[in-house]
Amino acid sequence: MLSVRSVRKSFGAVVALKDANLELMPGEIRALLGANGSGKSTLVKILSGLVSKDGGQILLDGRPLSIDSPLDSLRAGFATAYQDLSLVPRFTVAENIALGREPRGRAGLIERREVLETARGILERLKAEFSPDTFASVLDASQLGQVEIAKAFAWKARYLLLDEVTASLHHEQVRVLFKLLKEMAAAGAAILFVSHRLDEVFQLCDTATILRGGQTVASVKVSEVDHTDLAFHMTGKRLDRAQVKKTSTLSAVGAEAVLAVENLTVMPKVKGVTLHVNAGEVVGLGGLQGQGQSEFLQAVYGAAARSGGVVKLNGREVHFRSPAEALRHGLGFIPGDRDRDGVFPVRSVTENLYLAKLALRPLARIINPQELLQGARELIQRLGIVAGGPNHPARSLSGGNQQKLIVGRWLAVSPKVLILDDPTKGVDIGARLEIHEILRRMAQAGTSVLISSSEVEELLALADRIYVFYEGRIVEELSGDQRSEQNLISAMLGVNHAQSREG
Amino acid sequence: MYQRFVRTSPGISGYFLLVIAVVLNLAVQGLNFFSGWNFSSIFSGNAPLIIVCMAQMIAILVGGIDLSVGSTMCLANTLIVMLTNKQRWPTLGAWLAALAACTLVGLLNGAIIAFIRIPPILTTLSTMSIVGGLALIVQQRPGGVVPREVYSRYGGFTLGLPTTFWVILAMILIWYLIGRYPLGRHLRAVGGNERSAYACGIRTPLVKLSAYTLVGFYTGIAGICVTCLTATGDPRIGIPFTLNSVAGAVLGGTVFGAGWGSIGGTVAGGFFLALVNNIVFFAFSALIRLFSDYTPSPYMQNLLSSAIIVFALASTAVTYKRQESAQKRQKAEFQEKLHGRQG
Amino acid sequence: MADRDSSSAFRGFLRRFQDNQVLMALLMAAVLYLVGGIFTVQFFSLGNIGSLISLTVILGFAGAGQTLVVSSGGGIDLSVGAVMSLGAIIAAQTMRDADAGTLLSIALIVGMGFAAGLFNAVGVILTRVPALVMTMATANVVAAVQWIYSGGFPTGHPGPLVKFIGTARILPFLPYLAFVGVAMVLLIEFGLNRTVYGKQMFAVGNNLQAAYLSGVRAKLVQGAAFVLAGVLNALAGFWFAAFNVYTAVGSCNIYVMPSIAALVIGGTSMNGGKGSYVGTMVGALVLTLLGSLLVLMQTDEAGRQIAYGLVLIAVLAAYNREPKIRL
Repeated sequence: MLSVRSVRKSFGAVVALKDANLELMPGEIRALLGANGSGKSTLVKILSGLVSKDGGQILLDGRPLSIDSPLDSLRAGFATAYQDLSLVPRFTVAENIALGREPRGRAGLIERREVLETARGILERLKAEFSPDTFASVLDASQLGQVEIAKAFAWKARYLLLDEVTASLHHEQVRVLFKLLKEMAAAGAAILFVSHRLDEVFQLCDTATILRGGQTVASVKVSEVDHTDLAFHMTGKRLDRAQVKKTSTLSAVGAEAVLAVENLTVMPKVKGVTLHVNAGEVVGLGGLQGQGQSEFLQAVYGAAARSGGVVKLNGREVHFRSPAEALRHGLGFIPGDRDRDGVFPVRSVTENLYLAKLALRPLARIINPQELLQGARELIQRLGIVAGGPNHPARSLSGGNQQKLIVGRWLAVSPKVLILDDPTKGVDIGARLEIHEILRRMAQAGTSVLISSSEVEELLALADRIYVFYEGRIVEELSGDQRSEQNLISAMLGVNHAQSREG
Repeated sequence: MYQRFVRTSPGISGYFLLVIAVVLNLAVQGLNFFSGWNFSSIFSGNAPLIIVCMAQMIAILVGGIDLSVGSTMCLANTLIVMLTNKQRWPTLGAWLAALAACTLVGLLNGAIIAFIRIPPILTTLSTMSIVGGLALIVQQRPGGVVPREVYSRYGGFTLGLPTTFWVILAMILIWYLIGRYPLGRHLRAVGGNERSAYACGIRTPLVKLSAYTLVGFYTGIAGICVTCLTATGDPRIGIPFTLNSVAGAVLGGTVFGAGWGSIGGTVAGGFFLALVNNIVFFAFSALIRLFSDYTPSPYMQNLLSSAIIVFALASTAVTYKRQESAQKRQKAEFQEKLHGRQG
Repeated sequence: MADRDSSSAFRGFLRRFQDNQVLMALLMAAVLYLVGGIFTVQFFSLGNIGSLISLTVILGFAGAGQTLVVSSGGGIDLSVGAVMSLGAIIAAQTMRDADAGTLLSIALIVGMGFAAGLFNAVGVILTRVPALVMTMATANVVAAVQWIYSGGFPTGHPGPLVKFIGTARILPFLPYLAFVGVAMVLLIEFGLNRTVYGKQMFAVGNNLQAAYLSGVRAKLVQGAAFVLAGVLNALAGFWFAAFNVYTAVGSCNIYVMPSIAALVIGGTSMNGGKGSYVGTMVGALVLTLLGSLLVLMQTDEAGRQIAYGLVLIAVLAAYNREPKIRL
């Protein structure tokens, strides 16, 4: 049995964990829930050895356990699948799965055949659609997620720590995974399942521990609670479901489509998508992750090449070959991975806020620092960004505030069309609602918004119309009263999609 | 089989370039290229470069670089000559001492990089200076001798093939063996994504330490070779080898920050570098013979050689891109097959 | 009460040094200067100050292009030595001891630097070859051009006016070159911090993908950094010729590694995204003082190299340590 008692951890001035408690028994599948900033990722990293704890105790079968490195954690019987993956891109899938636990044979040499066989076995159980000798660098996000899981499985550990592993997986992949996890639990493994998707928690888990503000606030049996109970523990507020619905009415400003896309194709992920966005509308792109939404949006914005199709802006055909071109035509883009694609950690808050605006100006133009500073202060206030000062480096801000920096960057250029690619993934409820409000205000001021999201609630709360992606195509358009959870989810799952899968 | 090799071998650009170089060499030099003396001098003349390219490859594979290899070769060279000439040590003893010294330099680099965590390029930039200074302390000016038996053996034949061929082969086999052990995998993992390697329970500081120590060892062998080749001591002999070793490794398909590269490719890349000068020299000689009033400046040869190397470097990017698309195609084909089976 | 105030004030003062690497470098320079003076009072002489300033300015010029390339995240430019040498040779051979050729000389030098920088830009940006390797290859090509252009023995010298600015002093401790240096610092710092290009360049250096998605033409910005660096390196050669008067093939190759060291000491991040030319200049000052000090102490070449390496390691250990992998 694993026992976590009063664990504390701070990163400099930021307190990640104040008083974390957890118990995990063999055969149990326990969810670890919490909003962003609640400390759940930190707790997992402490157990897996990537992060050291400042205080508290970890006990394994009654005896204190000291975890000073991932090696200690692995030796103690923990195996972790990380949200941000622990793979080496230039290694093959089999090499990645074997990394750190290479089977030794004669004279200590690595048993290459066993490496392949072990990998093949696990991949088959996961119903993976790639062979073990594929290089990780050519796999997509959902396949990489499967490799990460396979890697954790390969350790045959007593305790399995899964940190947001379903974030990139298809519904079918999730189904297979859950079946396997239940088998493992029945055979005696203990599983800690970190997720923000409450539906999955109800499907899979026996128990749940909820963290809030770095503390364990509740430990419950999943069968005894419902969504609102969990949401209450996570946020401290009773979420009224009725409130979550969109309050502003459908703005019928202008029947002219600002952005019209016909038959856009991006091989192999996007197979002929046609949609349009009217002025001042918020159009949502729904669907499971990895159905082509990202590739579609990037192609429209010019960040990726397209194989075919037509894009029209205000009736005129356009073909952006780079984001710079799209920006000049009044488009904006907020990426889903802010660390990799959005924030400039070493540069100041001001520069982060102003970069898109600066990108519009000619290179030789001189800057007036006062003007920038003034503008930055205004934006900081408008967006409610918590920062030490406009000259502080962006990395000194918390995750949610960094995301606001990126939103602010585009607010500053008032784009005609703002494209967002799953922007609130991993952002906590508080910041998420604030960003929604900002988007609504932008739409009311005339910006057309095209936002892709895998969260049903987000789409229902924000969008005037929702297009649903399934396997690279639009399978449904929902507007008006059609925008219901039922319709959206069934479209996402391709229930109404009569065509069989193409080879 | 061939397709699989092309798709997965990191050294492919090196082999490709080498084939071109050999063909061009044959074109300008004729079959003389394969004559015993010429062939052997290609090996013995370039063994130091080839081996130090291997050393550099190891540093790049573990996610770093080693700018001190040239200076370390100087140290080996001056140590050997000083010990045998002034202290009357036997040759083998001097060699072992030099090897130990170079391995120690590698250990020092590794320790600073792994435990003090100064970036490799900056660390080795500094140790390059320090070790270069040490070489100068051992011997200030070029001079000294190497016994005839040693250098003629080095430049001659053993068991029917150039002696240096066996040396290079041995260094390749050592690396191949290491690659079959976990250290070989872990080294590349640390170079490919250090955090991932750490998360898998790998002791990354120790891996780095081992890697740079190996670099020192290989550099030491290269230093011994250069001593046998030049048959004298010179505290600045190794300077040009530093940047050439990086070029050779990169031409051989070694990629920075990825844990991707092969020793075969690196050796090929090193030979390519070596042959370029040869090609240009003979090409110009041929031109002079063909157009008797054409007297190009000797410096034109350098220009051409340098330009060829630039293009060769650019070509490694092309080779890599094509390899990546081949891999993607393979993945797609597998998916098709899978659906075909289920469908 | 007073003690506590003064001690925390002192600690605050110390922290300012810890955080600000340029200040720390200035402190190092001051220490080195004092040590030099302890060895011989001649070190404090006005004439010597003038020499130190001239040497610093020339090394600082070699670091100008490097600052741009490194800050833009483009990598390290190893062609600085070759381009600088070629610039010096062009200056000598086109001016031929006369003022008349000055403008032509500068035009040719700028053109050559532009071409070299463009060569680097195309090579690095279009291929995946790291700048370290590609610029080294460029350096080889430019070195070959040096040989061809000069036939191995560069002839001529810069014209009298240029020579005057390069070598003469308005006061024993103040060479005209100092003014050129200050002008350069002001110009480059302005370019880095007060132009749209500068901001975009730092952004690209800090996170290329984010800059690209924000509408910055990242490749253009990085390429421009190499081109500008080429011009700056070539002009550095012009001033080298003005100062040194005597030029030879490869005479500026000794500036390559110190240009990198100057950046490191001056606080420019080797990963890109953060840097300052003032810092590079101060770094050049530290290196020049160190070099002079070592010559003063009559250390031989070996001792100088070892001391140089040790000082570098010390600075690196203080400022360039990467964070621990375990938080």
